Amino acid sequence: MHQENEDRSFKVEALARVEGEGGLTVKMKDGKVADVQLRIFEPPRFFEAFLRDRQFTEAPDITARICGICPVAYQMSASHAMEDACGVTVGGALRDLRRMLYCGEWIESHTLHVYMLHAPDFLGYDSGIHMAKDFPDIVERGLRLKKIGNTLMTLLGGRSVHPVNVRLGGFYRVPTRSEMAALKPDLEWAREAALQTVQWVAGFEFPDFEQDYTFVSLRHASEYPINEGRIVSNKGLDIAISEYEQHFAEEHVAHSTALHSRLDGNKLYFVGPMARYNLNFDRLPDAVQKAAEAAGLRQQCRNPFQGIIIRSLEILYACEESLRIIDNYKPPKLPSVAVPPKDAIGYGCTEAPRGLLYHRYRIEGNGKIREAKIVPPTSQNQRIIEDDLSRLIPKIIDFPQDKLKHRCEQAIRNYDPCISCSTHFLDLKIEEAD
Amino acid sequence: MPDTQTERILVIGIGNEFRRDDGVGIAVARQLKKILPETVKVIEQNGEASALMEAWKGAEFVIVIDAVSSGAKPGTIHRLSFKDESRFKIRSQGSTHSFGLTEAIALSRYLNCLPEEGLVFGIEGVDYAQGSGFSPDVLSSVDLVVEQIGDLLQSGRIDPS
Repeated sequence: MHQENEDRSFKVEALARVEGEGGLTVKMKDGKVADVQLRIFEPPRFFEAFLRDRQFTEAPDITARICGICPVAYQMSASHAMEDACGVTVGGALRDLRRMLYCGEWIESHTLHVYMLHAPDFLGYDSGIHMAKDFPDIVERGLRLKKIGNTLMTLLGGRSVHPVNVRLGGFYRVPTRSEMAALKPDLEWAREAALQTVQWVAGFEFPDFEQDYTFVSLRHASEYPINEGRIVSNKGLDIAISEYEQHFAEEHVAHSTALHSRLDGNKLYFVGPMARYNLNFDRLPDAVQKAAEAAGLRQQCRNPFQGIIIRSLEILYACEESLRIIDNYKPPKLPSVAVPPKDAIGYGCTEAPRGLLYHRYRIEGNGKIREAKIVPPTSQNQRIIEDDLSRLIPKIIDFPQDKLKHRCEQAIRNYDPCISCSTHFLDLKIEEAD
Repeated sequence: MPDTQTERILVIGIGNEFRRDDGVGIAVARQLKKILPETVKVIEQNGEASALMEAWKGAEFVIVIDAVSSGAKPGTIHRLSFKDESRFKIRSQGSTHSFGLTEAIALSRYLNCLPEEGLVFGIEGVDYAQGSGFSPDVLSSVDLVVEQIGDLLQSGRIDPS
């Protein structure tokens, strides 16, 4: 534990209520923040390395294992990248089913974060479990909502954790119309519960903390972005997915096994639900826009503490969108389209619950993966999290130590960081001596 | 037979069979499945809290078998009742990766869906590395726990039929 009350440096050894293992170090000098480090010490995962030499068809299933909370995001970015390399486009009902599978993941992941991880911060509880003691009905609503996300993933993905039904070009099996229709009552309940969630979290107290962020997300011509679009920002960026690495660079820092990302030189940027919302408010259906308005949100929101409202709005959106897809659903003739391998590079970028998830693969004509690059949302958000903390701490420096630490943790949880996803490691070169 | 009756008694083996001693709950469940009457439902789970809660919802009596890491001698069999609140400490400061059995019991209690009776057979493990197969002390506890649970269900206190 760091000492000297006058310099107020502190350490949070292990962050609570995040996905994975990380910590925080804040160093103060002469009453000012000298350094903030979000320490990610979960061991590196080496996924990019062990994808090499595997078959291109295996990428969706292998990368799904990166995360138990957002496996669909990995499956989708991998599938889109491989299909891009092979010049295949998946459309129609298969495209809709992928979108709905992703909605299931948004519902599950966002609900877990809103109810069990983030709400306790606003209501003054140590955990969602402690909160359940006083608010059993609310927690029960959250658990049922999360379960409906699981149910969607089970029908479309074959099971709710690490789905097994996704393949390049589509699925192994597609649902019947009646299987889809059977989800409607649950989803109608979920839509109502999501609306109540928005109203519930909108009533929380939010610290006054607006920043001039550079938000980055996908933007699609007609829909709220999930699987496709261009990569845009509120500061003029508008590029194809294939141009990602011309603008975004990763670097290794000593205090983290996750790489840090930079935009166009050394710019900080912000990915995730708040970025999607700010860049795509006009793509939300009326019902969701109205719910946002009723919750007191404008079309632009720059207070990261209000991210909990936006996550709740995205749960509502995911329910609306799933119901729309069910109503229009006509089973495709085949559960997948053929994806023959090509000697090529493919790019895929989708909107994981926590934000932009970029994949690039180089494959050979025989289908072998030569090279893989994966940039998960949490590694992209690390620097903005640290920046938020260095701006927040001076404002709350007079708080008692416990409250100060807690508010910092809350600020980290604004981003729903998934530490397990983000851990990487530098390329390791072994040079043999003569 | 109506579902409600067949699912009165539920046995849940928790673990990951590819992390050595962590898989001991799964191994016990598989053996029990062979010897217990079909009226006892035996399932395997990975220990995630909401799935556990979902599984035991509506069950009257639940037996959970899981690997335990308390510092006791490897192979030690711990027997705990769900009611024994003080022995299940909520790890509120953990990440979501440690949202497991303890949390499921606490949450079920607060949400009023805790089974009437619940018993945890915890087997002290020592090796949680990747791979299959148990360390010797844990292996010798497998048969013992199977026997204890079999006896318990046949003792009349809990009627499996």
